[in-house]
Amino acid sequence: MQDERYARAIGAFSAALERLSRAYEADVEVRRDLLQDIHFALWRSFAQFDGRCSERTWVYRVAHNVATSHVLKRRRSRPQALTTLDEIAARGDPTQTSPEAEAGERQALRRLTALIQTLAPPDRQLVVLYLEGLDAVAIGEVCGLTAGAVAAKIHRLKAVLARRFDQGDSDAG
Amino acid sequence: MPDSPPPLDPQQLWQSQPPETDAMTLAAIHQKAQSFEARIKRRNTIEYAASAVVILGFLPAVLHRGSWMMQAGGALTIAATVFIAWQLHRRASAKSVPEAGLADFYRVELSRQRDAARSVGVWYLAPFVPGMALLLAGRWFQSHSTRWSLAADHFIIGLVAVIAALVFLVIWLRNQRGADRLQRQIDEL
Repeated sequence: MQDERYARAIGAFSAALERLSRAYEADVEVRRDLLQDIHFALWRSFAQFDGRCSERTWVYRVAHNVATSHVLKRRRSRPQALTTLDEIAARGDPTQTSPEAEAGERQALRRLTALIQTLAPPDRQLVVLYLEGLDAVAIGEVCGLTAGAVAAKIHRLKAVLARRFDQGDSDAG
Repeated sequence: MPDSPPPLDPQQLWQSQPPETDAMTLAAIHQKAQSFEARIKRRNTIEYAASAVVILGFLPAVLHRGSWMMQAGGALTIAATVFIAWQLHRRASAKSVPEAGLADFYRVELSRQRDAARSVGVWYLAPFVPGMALLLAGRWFQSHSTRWSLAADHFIIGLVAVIAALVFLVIWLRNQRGADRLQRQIDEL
Protein backbone atom coordinates (compact mmCIF):
# COMPACT_ATOMS: atom_id res chain seq x y z
CA MET A 1 0.00 0.00 0.00
CA GLN A 2 2.83 2.38 0.97
CA ASP A 3 4.66 1.60 -2.28
CA GLU A 4 1.49 1.98 -4.33
CA ARG A 5 0.64 5.35 -2.79
CA TYR A 6 4.17 6.61 -3.28
CA ALA A 7 4.24 5.44 -6.91
CA ARG A 8 0.89 7.11 -7.56
CA ALA A 9 1.98 10.36 -5.91
CA ILE A 10 5.24 10.44 -7.81
CA GLY A 11 3.41 9.77 -11.06
CA ALA A 12 1.40 12.92 -10.44
CA PHE A 13 3.83 15.21 -8.60
CA SER A 14 7.37 14.24 -9.56
CA ALA A 15 7.96 17.35 -11.66
CA ALA A 16 6.32 19.62 -9.08
CA LEU A 17 8.57 18.21 -6.35
CA GLU A 18 11.63 18.89 -8.43
CA ARG A 19 10.52 22.47 -8.96
CA LEU A 20 9.83 22.75 -5.24
CA SER A 21 13.38 21.63 -4.46
CA ARG A 22 14.68 24.43 -6.71
CA ALA A 23 12.80 26.93 -4.59
CA TYR A 24 14.66 25.73 -1.50
CA GLU A 25 18.20 25.03 -2.68
CA ALA A 26 20.33 26.82 -5.25
CA ASP A 27 23.27 24.40 -5.30
CA VAL A 28 22.63 21.66 -7.88
CA GLU A 29 24.39 18.85 -5.99
CA VAL A 30 22.82 19.71 -2.65
CA ARG A 31 19.46 20.09 -4.39
CA ARG A 32 19.74 16.53 -5.71
CA ASP A 33 20.24 15.30 -2.14
CA LEU A 34 17.33 17.41 -0.93
CA LEU A 35 15.08 15.98 -3.63
CA GLN A 36 16.07 12.45 -2.61
CA ASP A 37 15.32 13.29 1.01
CA ILE A 38 11.90 14.59 -0.03
CA HIS A 39 11.18 11.39 -1.97
CA PHE A 40 12.31 9.23 0.91
CA ALA A 41 10.30 11.19 3.49
CA LEU A 42 7.28 10.98 1.23
CA TRP A 43 7.60 7.21 0.91
CA ARG A 44 7.97 6.88 4.68
CA SER A 45 5.08 9.25 5.31
CA PHE A 46 2.66 7.14 3.33
CA ALA A 47 2.95 4.49 6.05
CA GLN A 48 1.02 6.91 8.28
CA PHE A 49 -1.21 8.57 5.70
CA ASP A 50 -4.72 8.49 7.15
CA GLY A 51 -6.69 9.99 4.28
CA ARG A 52 -7.86 12.99 6.32
CA CYS A 53 -6.56 15.27 3.59
CA SER A 54 -6.05 14.75 -0.12
CA GLU A 55 -2.89 13.07 -1.37
CA ARG A 56 -1.89 16.30 -3.07
CA THR A 57 -2.13 18.24 0.22
CA TRP A 58 -0.14 15.52 1.98
CA VAL A 59 2.56 15.46 -0.68
CA TYR A 60 3.05 19.23 -0.59
CA ARG A 61 3.06 19.36 3.24
CA VAL A 62 5.63 16.61 3.59
CA ALA A 63 7.81 18.03 0.82
CA HIS A 64 7.66 21.54 2.26
CA ASN A 65 8.41 20.30 5.78
CA VAL A 66 11.46 18.37 4.63
CA ALA A 67 12.64 21.37 2.62
CA THR A 68 12.03 23.68 5.61
CA SER A 69 14.14 21.39 7.80
CA HIS A 70 16.80 21.63 5.11
CA VAL A 71 16.65 25.45 5.12
CA LEU A 72 16.86 25.57 8.93
CA LYS A 73 19.86 23.24 8.89
CA ARG A 74 21.61 25.22 6.13
CA ARG A 75 20.96 28.49 7.94
CA ARG A 76 22.81 27.19 10.98
CA SER A 77 25.91 26.52 8.87
CA ARG A 78 25.48 29.37 6.35
CA PRO A 79 23.42 32.19 7.92
CA GLN A 80 21.45 34.11 5.32
CA ALA A 81 18.84 36.79 5.91
CA LEU A 82 15.40 35.69 4.78
CA THR A 83 12.57 38.07 4.10
CA THR A 84 8.80 38.08 3.71
CA LEU A 85 6.43 38.98 0.91
CA ASP A 86 5.36 42.08 2.85
CA GLU A 87 8.94 43.32 3.08
CA ILE A 88 9.56 42.73 -0.62
CA ALA A 89 6.33 44.54 -1.48
CA ALA A 90 7.39 47.49 0.69
CA ARG A 91 11.13 47.70 0.06
CA GLY A 92 11.62 46.05 -3.30
CA ASP A 93 13.06 42.84 -4.66
CA PRO A 94 16.54 42.13 -3.21
CA THR A 95 17.41 40.06 -6.29
CA GLN A 96 16.59 42.78 -8.82
CA THR A 97 19.32 43.43 -11.35
CA SER A 98 19.66 45.90 -14.20
CA PRO A 99 16.87 46.04 -16.84
CA GLU A 100 19.32 44.76 -19.48
CA ALA A 101 19.71 41.55 -17.56
CA GLU A 102 15.97 40.97 -17.69
CA ALA A 103 15.78 39.86 -21.31
CA GLY A 104 14.68 36.33 -21.93
CA GLU A 105 12.70 33.74 -20.05
CA ARG A 106 15.79 32.05 -18.69
CA GLN A 107 16.91 35.14 -16.85
CA ALA A 108 13.37 35.76 -15.70
CA LEU A 109 13.17 32.23 -14.33
CA ARG A 110 16.54 32.58 -12.67
CA ARG A 111 15.41 35.78 -10.99
CA LEU A 112 12.09 34.31 -9.99
CA THR A 113 13.87 31.35 -8.39
CA ALA A 114 16.37 33.64 -6.67
CA LEU A 115 13.51 35.78 -5.35
CA ILE A 116 11.74 32.72 -3.93
CA GLN A 117 14.95 31.54 -2.28
CA THR A 118 15.16 34.76 -0.26
CA LEU A 119 11.76 34.19 1.33
CA ALA A 120 11.16 32.72 4.78
CA PRO A 121 9.75 29.17 4.52
CA PRO A 122 6.04 29.98 5.11
CA ASP A 123 5.97 32.60 2.32
CA ARG A 124 8.14 30.40 0.14
CA GLN A 125 5.65 27.56 0.49
CA LEU A 126 2.79 29.82 -0.46
CA VAL A 127 4.57 31.24 -3.50
CA VAL A 128 5.56 27.79 -4.79
CA LEU A 129 2.00 26.50 -4.41
CA TYR A 130 0.65 29.57 -6.21
CA LEU A 131 3.15 29.09 -9.03
CA GLU A 132 2.11 25.44 -9.22
CA GLY A 133 -1.40 26.68 -9.97
CA LEU A 134 -3.18 25.75 -6.73
CA ASP A 135 -6.12 27.95 -5.74
CA ALA A 136 -6.41 29.81 -2.40
CA VAL A 137 -8.49 27.08 -0.74
CA ALA A 138 -6.03 24.33 -1.72
CA ILE A 139 -3.05 26.46 -0.64
CA GLY A 140 -4.76 27.19 2.67
CA GLU A 141 -5.28 23.48 3.26
CA VAL A 142 -1.58 22.74 2.69
CA CYS A 143 -0.30 25.70 4.72
CA GLY A 144 -2.86 25.61 7.52
CA LEU A 145 -4.15 29.11 6.66
CA THR A 146 -7.62 30.44 5.91
CA ALA A 147 -8.49 31.02 2.26
CA GLY A 148 -8.84 34.74 3.08
CA ALA A 149 -5.33 34.98 4.50
CA VAL A 150 -3.96 33.14 1.47
CA ALA A 151 -5.89 35.41 -0.91
CA ALA A 152 -4.44 38.52 0.79
CA LYS A 153 -0.91 37.16 0.50
CA ILE A 154 -1.43 36.13 -3.12
CA HIS A 155 -2.67 39.64 -3.86
CA ARG A 156 0.62 41.06 -2.53
CA LEU A 157 2.58 38.37 -4.33
CA LYS A 158 0.92 39.17 -7.65
CA ALA A 159 1.84 42.83 -7.20
CA VAL A 160 5.47 41.89 -6.57
CA LEU A 161 5.56 39.51 -9.54
CA ALA A 162 3.85 42.01 -11.82
CA ARG A 163 6.50 44.61 -11.01
CA ARG A 164 9.22 42.07 -11.73
CA PHE A 165 7.88 40.47 -14.88
CA ASP A 166 5.54 42.88 -16.60
CA GLN A 167 7.88 44.40 -19.19
CA GLY A 168 5.53 47.33 -19.74
CA ASP A 169 5.63 48.30 -16.08
CA SER A 170 7.49 51.49 -15.21
CA ASP A 171 9.29 49.82 -12.30
CA ALA A 172 12.65 49.97 -14.04
CA GLY A 173 12.50 53.61 -14.74
CA MET B 1 8.52 51.56 -32.79
CA PRO B 2 9.18 47.87 -32.06
CA ASP B 3 6.49 45.81 -30.28
CA SER B 4 7.24 45.33 -26.61
CA PRO B 5 7.46 41.66 -25.60
CA PRO B 6 4.31 40.20 -24.03
CA PRO B 7 4.33 40.13 -20.22
CA LEU B 8 5.66 36.89 -18.78
CA ASP B 9 3.24 34.68 -16.91
CA PRO B 10 5.11 33.62 -13.72
CA GLN B 11 3.01 30.47 -13.29
CA GLN B 12 3.65 29.36 -16.85
CA LEU B 13 7.31 30.28 -16.52
CA TRP B 14 7.65 28.28 -13.31
CA GLN B 15 5.84 25.19 -14.57
CA SER B 16 7.70 25.10 -17.88
CA GLN B 17 11.06 24.30 -16.24
CA PRO B 18 12.66 21.24 -17.81
CA PRO B 19 13.30 18.33 -15.40
CA GLU B 20 16.83 18.08 -14.03
CA THR B 21 16.82 14.56 -12.64
CA ASP B 22 14.84 11.33 -12.96
CA ALA B 23 12.34 10.47 -10.24
CA MET B 24 13.60 7.99 -7.64
CA THR B 25 12.63 4.40 -8.35
CA LEU B 26 11.03 2.27 -5.66
CA ALA B 27 14.15 0.09 -5.63
CA ALA B 28 16.26 3.18 -4.87
CA ILE B 29 13.81 4.21 -2.14
CA HIS B 30 14.00 0.76 -0.52
CA GLN B 31 17.79 0.89 -0.67
CA LYS B 32 17.75 4.33 0.96
CA ALA B 33 15.41 2.97 3.65
CA GLN B 34 17.90 0.21 4.44
CA SER B 35 20.84 2.61 4.70
CA PHE B 36 18.69 4.97 6.80
CA GLU B 37 17.93 2.19 9.28
CA ALA B 38 21.61 1.20 9.33
CA ARG B 39 22.51 4.83 10.09
CA ILE B 40 20.02 4.98 12.97
CA LYS B 41 21.40 1.71 14.35
CA ARG B 42 24.95 3.07 14.09
CA ARG B 43 23.96 6.31 15.83
CA ASN B 44 22.28 4.39 18.65
CA THR B 45 25.33 2.15 19.04
CA ILE B 46 27.61 5.19 19.31
CA GLU B 47 25.29 6.75 21.90
CA TYR B 48 25.24 3.57 23.97
CA ALA B 49 29.02 3.21 23.68
CA ALA B 50 29.55 6.82 24.82
CA SER B 51 27.24 6.23 27.79
CA ALA B 52 29.14 3.03 28.62
CA VAL B 53 32.44 4.94 28.60
CA VAL B 54 31.03 7.55 31.02
CA ILE B 55 29.64 4.81 33.26
CA LEU B 56 32.99 3.03 33.30
CA GLY B 57 34.70 6.35 34.01
CA PHE B 58 32.58 6.97 37.12
CA LEU B 59 32.52 3.36 38.29
CA PRO B 60 35.67 3.79 40.42
CA ALA B 61 33.90 6.60 42.30
CA VAL B 62 30.89 4.33 42.92
CA LEU B 63 33.21 1.64 44.27
CA HIS B 64 35.14 4.13 46.48
CA ARG B 65 34.28 2.72 49.89
CA GLY B 66 36.06 5.48 51.82
CA SER B 67 33.54 8.15 50.82
CA TRP B 68 29.79 7.69 50.67
CA MET B 69 29.54 11.15 49.08
CA MET B 70 31.75 10.12 46.17
CA GLN B 71 29.88 6.84 45.83
CA ALA B 72 26.53 8.64 45.70
CA GLY B 73 28.00 11.33 43.42
CA GLY B 74 29.32 8.72 40.99
CA ALA B 75 26.00 6.89 40.96
CA LEU B 76 24.06 10.13 40.41
CA THR B 77 26.40 11.18 37.58
CA ILE B 78 25.88 7.81 35.89
CA ALA B 79 22.11 8.21 36.32
CA ALA B 80 22.34 11.73 34.87
CA THR B 81 24.30 10.42 31.85
CA VAL B 82 21.65 7.77 31.17
CA PHE B 83 18.91 10.42 31.56
CA ILE B 84 20.63 12.84 29.15
CA ALA B 85 21.23 10.06 26.60
CA TRP B 86 17.53 9.21 26.78
CA GLN B 87 16.58 12.90 26.44
CA LEU B 88 18.82 13.35 23.37
CA HIS B 89 17.40 10.16 21.86
CA ARG B 90 13.82 11.30 22.53
CA ARG B 91 14.44 14.77 21.13
CA ALA B 92 16.17 13.39 18.02
CA SER B 93 13.18 11.11 17.43
CA ALA B 94 10.82 14.08 17.72
CA LYS B 95 12.65 15.68 14.79
CA SER B 96 11.08 13.16 12.39
CA VAL B 97 8.07 15.53 12.35
CA PRO B 98 8.52 16.41 8.63
CA GLU B 99 6.99 13.08 7.76
CA ALA B 100 3.89 13.80 9.81
CA GLY B 101 2.43 16.04 7.13
CA LEU B 102 2.05 18.88 9.62
CA ALA B 103 0.60 22.09 8.17
CA ASP B 104 2.37 24.52 10.53
CA PHE B 105 5.70 22.73 10.60
CA TYR B 106 7.95 25.81 10.46
CA ARG B 107 6.45 27.40 13.56
CA VAL B 108 6.32 24.04 15.37
CA GLU B 109 9.96 23.29 14.56
CA LEU B 110 11.16 26.76 15.63
CA SER B 111 9.14 26.46 18.84
CA ARG B 112 10.56 23.00 19.52
CA GLN B 113 14.12 24.28 19.08
CA ARG B 114 13.38 27.36 21.22
CA ASP B 115 11.93 25.26 24.05
CA ALA B 116 14.87 22.84 23.96
CA ALA B 117 17.33 25.75 24.16
CA ARG B 118 15.35 27.66 26.80
CA SER B 119 15.08 24.65 29.11
CA VAL B 120 18.63 23.39 28.62
CA GLY B 121 19.35 24.18 32.28
CA VAL B 122 16.64 21.79 33.39
CA TRP B 123 17.10 18.80 31.08
CA TYR B 124 20.83 18.99 30.28
CA LEU B 125 22.68 20.81 33.06
CA ALA B 126 20.69 20.30 36.27
CA PRO B 127 20.83 16.46 36.19
CA PHE B 128 24.63 16.64 36.50
CA VAL B 129 24.65 19.11 39.42
CA PRO B 130 23.83 16.80 42.38
CA GLY B 131 26.30 14.12 41.26
CA MET B 132 29.09 16.60 40.57
CA ALA B 133 28.44 18.47 43.84
CA LEU B 134 28.60 15.24 45.81
CA LEU B 135 31.75 14.11 44.00
CA LEU B 136 33.47 17.42 44.81
CA ALA B 137 32.15 17.43 48.38
CA GLY B 138 33.36 13.85 48.81
CA ARG B 139 36.82 14.83 47.64
CA TRP B 140 36.79 17.93 49.86
CA PHE B 141 35.55 16.32 53.11
CA GLN B 142 36.18 12.58 52.86
CA SER B 143 38.85 11.63 50.37
CA HIS B 144 41.99 13.73 50.15
CA SER B 145 44.90 13.05 47.87
CA THR B 146 48.03 11.77 49.59
CA ARG B 147 50.25 13.18 46.83
CA TRP B 148 50.03 16.83 47.85
CA SER B 149 49.07 19.01 50.82
CA LEU B 150 45.50 19.55 52.04
CA ALA B 151 45.61 23.20 50.97
CA ALA B 152 46.74 22.26 47.46
CA ASP B 153 44.04 19.60 47.29
CA HIS B 154 41.37 22.10 48.30
CA PHE B 155 42.70 24.58 45.77
CA ILE B 156 42.43 21.97 42.96
CA ILE B 157 38.92 20.95 44.02
CA GLY B 158 37.88 24.62 44.14
CA LEU B 159 39.41 25.23 40.72
CA VAL B 160 37.57 22.24 39.21
CA ALA B 161 34.32 23.52 40.76
CA VAL B 162 34.83 27.02 39.31
CA ILE B 163 35.71 25.66 35.83
CA ALA B 164 32.66 23.35 35.87
CA ALA B 165 30.42 26.25 36.94
CA LEU B 166 31.83 28.45 34.15
CA VAL B 167 31.30 25.75 31.52
CA PHE B 168 27.71 25.32 32.71
CA LEU B 169 27.17 29.08 32.64
CA VAL B 170 28.52 29.42 29.08
CA ILE B 171 26.34 26.53 27.84
CA TRP B 172 23.29 28.06 29.53
CA LEU B 173 23.94 31.59 28.22
CA ARG B 174 24.55 30.40 24.65
CA ASN B 175 21.30 28.48 24.70
CA GLN B 176 19.36 31.42 26.14
CA ARG B 177 20.72 33.63 23.35
CA GLY B 178 19.72 30.96 20.82
CA ALA B 179 16.23 30.77 22.33
CA ASP B 180 15.87 34.58 22.08
CA ARG B 181 16.91 34.47 18.40
CA LEU B 182 14.38 31.71 17.68
CA GLN B 183 11.67 33.64 19.53
CA ARG B 184 12.36 36.68 17.32
CA GLN B 185 11.94 34.48 14.24
CA ILE B 186 8.65 33.11 15.61
CA ASP B 187 7.42 36.64 16.37
CA GLU B 188 8.14 37.67 12.77
CA LEU B 189 5.80 34.97 11.41
